[in-house]
Amino acid sequence: MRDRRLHELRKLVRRGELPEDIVAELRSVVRKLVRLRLLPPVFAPYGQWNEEAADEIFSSWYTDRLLGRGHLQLLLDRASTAGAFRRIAEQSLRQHLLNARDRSQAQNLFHRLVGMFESDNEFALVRDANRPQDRWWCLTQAADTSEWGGQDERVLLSEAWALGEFAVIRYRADAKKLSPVLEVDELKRFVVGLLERVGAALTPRLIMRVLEQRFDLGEISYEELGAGAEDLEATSDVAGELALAETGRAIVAQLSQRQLEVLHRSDSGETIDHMAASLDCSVGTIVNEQRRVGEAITRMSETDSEREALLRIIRDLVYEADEGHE
Amino acid sequence: MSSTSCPALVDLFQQPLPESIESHVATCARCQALLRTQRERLSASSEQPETAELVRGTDVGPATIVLVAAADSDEILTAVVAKVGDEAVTVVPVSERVALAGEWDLLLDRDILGYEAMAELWNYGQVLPEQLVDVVAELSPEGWNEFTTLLRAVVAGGERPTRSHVGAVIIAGTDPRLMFQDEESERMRPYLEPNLALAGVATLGQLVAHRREELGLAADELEQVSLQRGWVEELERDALDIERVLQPTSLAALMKRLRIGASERLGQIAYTTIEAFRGQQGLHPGLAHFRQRRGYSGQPQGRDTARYVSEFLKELEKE
Repeated sequence: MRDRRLHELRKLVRRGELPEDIVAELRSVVRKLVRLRLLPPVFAPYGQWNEEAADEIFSSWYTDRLLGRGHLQLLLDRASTAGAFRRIAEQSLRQHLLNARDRSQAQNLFHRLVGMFESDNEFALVRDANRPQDRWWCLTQAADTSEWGGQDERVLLSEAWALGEFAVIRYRADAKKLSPVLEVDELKRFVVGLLERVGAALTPRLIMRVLEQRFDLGEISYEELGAGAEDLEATSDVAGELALAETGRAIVAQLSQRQLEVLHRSDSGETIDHMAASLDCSVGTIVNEQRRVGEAITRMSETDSEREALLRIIRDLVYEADEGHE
Repeated sequence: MSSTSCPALVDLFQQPLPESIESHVATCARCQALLRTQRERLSASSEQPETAELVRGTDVGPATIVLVAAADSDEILTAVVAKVGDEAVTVVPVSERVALAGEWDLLLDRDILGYEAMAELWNYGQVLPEQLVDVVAELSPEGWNEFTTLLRAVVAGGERPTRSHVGAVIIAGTDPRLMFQDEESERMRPYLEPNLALAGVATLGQLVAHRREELGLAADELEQVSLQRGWVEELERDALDIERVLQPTSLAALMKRLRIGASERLGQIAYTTIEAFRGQQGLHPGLAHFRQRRGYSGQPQGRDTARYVSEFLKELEKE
């Protein structure tokens, strides 16, 4: 695809047309990333990358995100060159895979939330109801609080955002529906923090609505869950060295040049102020970039040792390149 | 570290590498790392980049949604036009990250752009008219009404009106959406830079002095655009006979070194500077002719200066 065609496509797609060459271009982006092994192994639908896997993820990306959410138009609007289009498409694909993973694993949240309320002494039932999602719960230490009577759920969402960062999802190589969106401790920290900030009793339904929006999980149909949910304490294997190496490379591909530069400079003991001056950006940006690197690695690690191993692989990859350059 | 974005991965692994990507790789540890570890190389056809054809937005007006280009970026910004001024257009950037909407992000229905989005009213800024690539949509009268009400509140530091289609209020410094807003401010920066570079500048001398300091460039680095030496200092004092010392191509090269793009406003600044100098030398044709050539009314005088400025701008528009 050439730049001039990109400009035509932008208008054609906006008119509701779907030319074949744009579909072919997008399919080729997926196939090449799969063949180049530049996507983390954990995203492979059946545990390995092959043409079938490529077709499957193309199909879900194209259907759910590009057409379903209208992001094909977004990609075309944002790119001014064909090269930029491919780069933005790669980012979109990666984001789709992450979100799909988040949402598939979110189904456990309701079951875990209700289980936590019923088994943990820190929570007290304020008002019972037939369905578990309609029962009102508060903190035991504030058992005289009333039920939340607000109309605007955005108020709850504000309070949820105010709780700050949470470690979201730790993927493992064999993760299916068992990995939690939030680890047990983090889920409890979230619920306790929310109840404290709101100063009122809440139902699991309200808390789930907030979780859906705070972590962009889409709508969770918790009605279907409950007794059938799988055991959350399932064991996991540490991913093999090869898978880790591929994951490390995929993370490097996902990170920006500046993020890797920040990682390198941080390892060298350079101060944040100095980094900001050298890289012509603000101190806040450097801190953000450090967080982004940490998040990208954490998301792909099941354990602290995996995280360390991934960090080592990434450092080896990047520093070797740096030494070669020097 | 190179300032350009890394190429798409599928482009990074094509063979042979186009020159533009090869020069990027030479300075990018990330791309070097990826290339070195890659055993399976795919051959892909090498494409020569084409110059993006900018479509001048003739229908740009308040409430329209436009695409905005930046010289230093191959990505385009989608933005709502808030106001069209004589020299700059006030825009509000649009993002699709609606899950991160705050109280000053106006949510836009999917039927407007084809995807859910939000107008980041807190992140408004000014761009040059020449940066507008296309008009892609327009807010409804109701949407525009809500947009302007909110924008006025942002500008005046007032309270957000109730019942707006916005995100949840940010109530604590621990809110991770503040980090997203930092990133969005940074994303906006290259689009604002062309206008900022010209803001408050009346002459080419002021412009060059200001940008040279901002970019940390030495005078002799700039003088490489011409065979002559020692003229930058005179230029910065507006005491240089620009037409005599610098060919239009040299002045354009100087602007490129200073990362300043072609614009009507730059043309006016150049014209004013040259005419003022000529006036000091006893030749004073005035600004009128340049205005007429660029579409303004006035008496046709000073043809040489106008031609010089036109040639300079044409040269600067070239890649």
